Amino acid sequence: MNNLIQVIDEVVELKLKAVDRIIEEFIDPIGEIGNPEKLIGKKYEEWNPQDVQRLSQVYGTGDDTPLSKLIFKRVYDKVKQLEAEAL
Amino acid sequence: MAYKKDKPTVDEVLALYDDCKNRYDESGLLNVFDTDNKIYELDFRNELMLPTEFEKEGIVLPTARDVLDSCVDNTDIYNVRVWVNKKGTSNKSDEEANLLRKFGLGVLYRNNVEASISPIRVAAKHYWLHGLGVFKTVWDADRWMGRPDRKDEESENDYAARIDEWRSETHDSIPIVIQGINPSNIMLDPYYDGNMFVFEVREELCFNVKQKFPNWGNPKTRKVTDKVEHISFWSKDYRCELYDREPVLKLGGGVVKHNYGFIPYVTIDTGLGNITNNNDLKKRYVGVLRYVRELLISESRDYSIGDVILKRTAFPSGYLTGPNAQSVTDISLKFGEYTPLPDGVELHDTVQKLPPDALLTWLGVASNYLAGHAAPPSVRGLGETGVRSGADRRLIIAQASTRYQYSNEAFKHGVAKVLSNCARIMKNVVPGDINVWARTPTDEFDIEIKKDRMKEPFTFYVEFAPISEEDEYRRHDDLERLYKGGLVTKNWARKQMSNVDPIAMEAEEQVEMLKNDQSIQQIISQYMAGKLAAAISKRQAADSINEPQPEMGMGMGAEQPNMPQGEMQPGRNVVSPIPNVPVPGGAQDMQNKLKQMRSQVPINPMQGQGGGGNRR
Repeated sequence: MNNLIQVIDEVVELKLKAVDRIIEEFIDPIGEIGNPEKLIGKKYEEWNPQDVQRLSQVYGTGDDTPLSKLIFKRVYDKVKQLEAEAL
Repeated sequence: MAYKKDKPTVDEVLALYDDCKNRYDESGLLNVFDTDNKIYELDFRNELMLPTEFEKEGIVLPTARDVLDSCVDNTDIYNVRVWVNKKGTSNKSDEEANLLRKFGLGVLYRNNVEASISPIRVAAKHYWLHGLGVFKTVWDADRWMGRPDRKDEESENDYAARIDEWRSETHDSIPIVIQGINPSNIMLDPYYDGNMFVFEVREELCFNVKQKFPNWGNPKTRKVTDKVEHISFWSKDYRCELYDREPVLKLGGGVVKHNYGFIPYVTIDTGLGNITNNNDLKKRYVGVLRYVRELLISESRDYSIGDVILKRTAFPSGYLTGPNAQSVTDISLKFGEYTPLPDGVELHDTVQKLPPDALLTWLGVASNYLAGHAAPPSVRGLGETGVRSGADRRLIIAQASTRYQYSNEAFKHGVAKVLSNCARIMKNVVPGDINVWARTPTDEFDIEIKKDRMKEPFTFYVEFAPISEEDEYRRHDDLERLYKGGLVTKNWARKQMSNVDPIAMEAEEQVEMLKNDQSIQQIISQYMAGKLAAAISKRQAADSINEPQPEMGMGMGAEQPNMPQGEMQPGRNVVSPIPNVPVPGGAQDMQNKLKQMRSQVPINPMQGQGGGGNRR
């Protein structure tokens, strides 16, 4: 029985490795759509609310999507710049 | 509790030795061992009894070696497999049995690798030559009496590390050594068949003894090039090492406890001898050449006589007659040339005195007797007269092989006992744990043997794979038929095949089955399809981002006319609704992100409002 469980574990591990490899090599590249600014063809400063809405439909709305990371970086930089100017 | 005084003194050991030697001398066993050796070494030309003038022309045929080597080659001592039975049904018992099995296999493998010749092969040769094979199993440090002793209060692990370091500095070997000892160097207790004590006797160079034991007194004042008699005494609990009858182990009055718990010699008897009513050792241990000694001499004598006669009479010769015979000085014997002879001279051929047929016939008779006694032609790969079919030949080989059948059993059991002794040495004597490794057709491992997981009694089962491919093939063929006919199960059939590990095979079979299982394939396919669909959907959304957006009118997001408020449309939306999350870059989104960047430690809302303590 022990032997059988060990065998099953080994097979599952082998299968998972194979699946991970296929996803990494073939499926993930399909989903990679690159930088939001390049995709929409405009700099962040030129975006209107509709652009943001459309992009969020593509990239999703989580905190760690390329879109939200880019927006946060731009806004944060701007805030820093304003603070520096105020001082 | 009464004190059990079982430790012998040096004087008692010497008295035992003298008595034992007398018994051996009386029986003449060592003399017949010596004769066996001479026969095997073909050292009997002086016994051919040829006429003095032909003595130097005697030829000793190598039949004795052929016979003995055939016996050794037909003894199954290769491709060892080891089993250990489980002591319970728990997983722990399973692991312990597996550990012990690997220990046995690893010890045999390492001993075979590190020795210049396999000790089992050495024992097999002694077994057939003298009728007795002897294995010795010792902790290697016990072979080197100058090893460091364990200090007071020194832990076992520290001592093990020190011993390992010492071993690597002094010699390269493994902790447990299996040796094949020549029976001529052994004197078994003649009263209990070696069960109470054993003596091992050898000659060693005086110089070497002085180097190893600087405190040895050299009682016979020998020169450095002289030989010293080394007597090694072993009982179940004690050992004593004597050089020229002087003990060299200074502790315990020269006799020390060895902790093995057994006598480290294992003997294997051919069974060709007989246990007589007076336990005559010479009749007990009989090798395969013992009772054909005269026949071997006779065969060589017949051949030598034939050779001598043939040499002298086979070449052509003749004589000349006639008045001018004296004038002929040379007659050419070249092919196609004729030598002219003077008138009246006649050439006469001498009648050849070739060896009589009786001599050759007798040579054949001697050979047949020898073959019949020990090694029929079929087991040496030679044809048998009168054999006309494959089945007949197979039957004859099988019948001839029965002569070696007991040897296979004897070695299986003997080596199992050797392994049991090794396990006891490991458990009781060797400090610390050891590493063993092996690679065989069915096994490959390199593991540390944990002593505390070895549980006595140690029971090993040993099998040596058949040496003949033909035998192996027939076994497989037979098993296949039994399995296909439904008489036996697959697992049982696999267990009968020594080159197949049934457990590993079953595991591989399970792996194969699971890999090809439909339901597993289906689950994986579904998972992959989901992943692929998500990736493609993302890609499609990205592709369509720069395309013009449809007008929001009668479309998807707009309210349908004539549709009551709050009532759901039939069917479902093509596009999923926009989640209720802050718009990226919006005020709420920025608030959330900045909140995350701030310290997560809550600030006490009352801090700084208490006035800084109870001040007046």
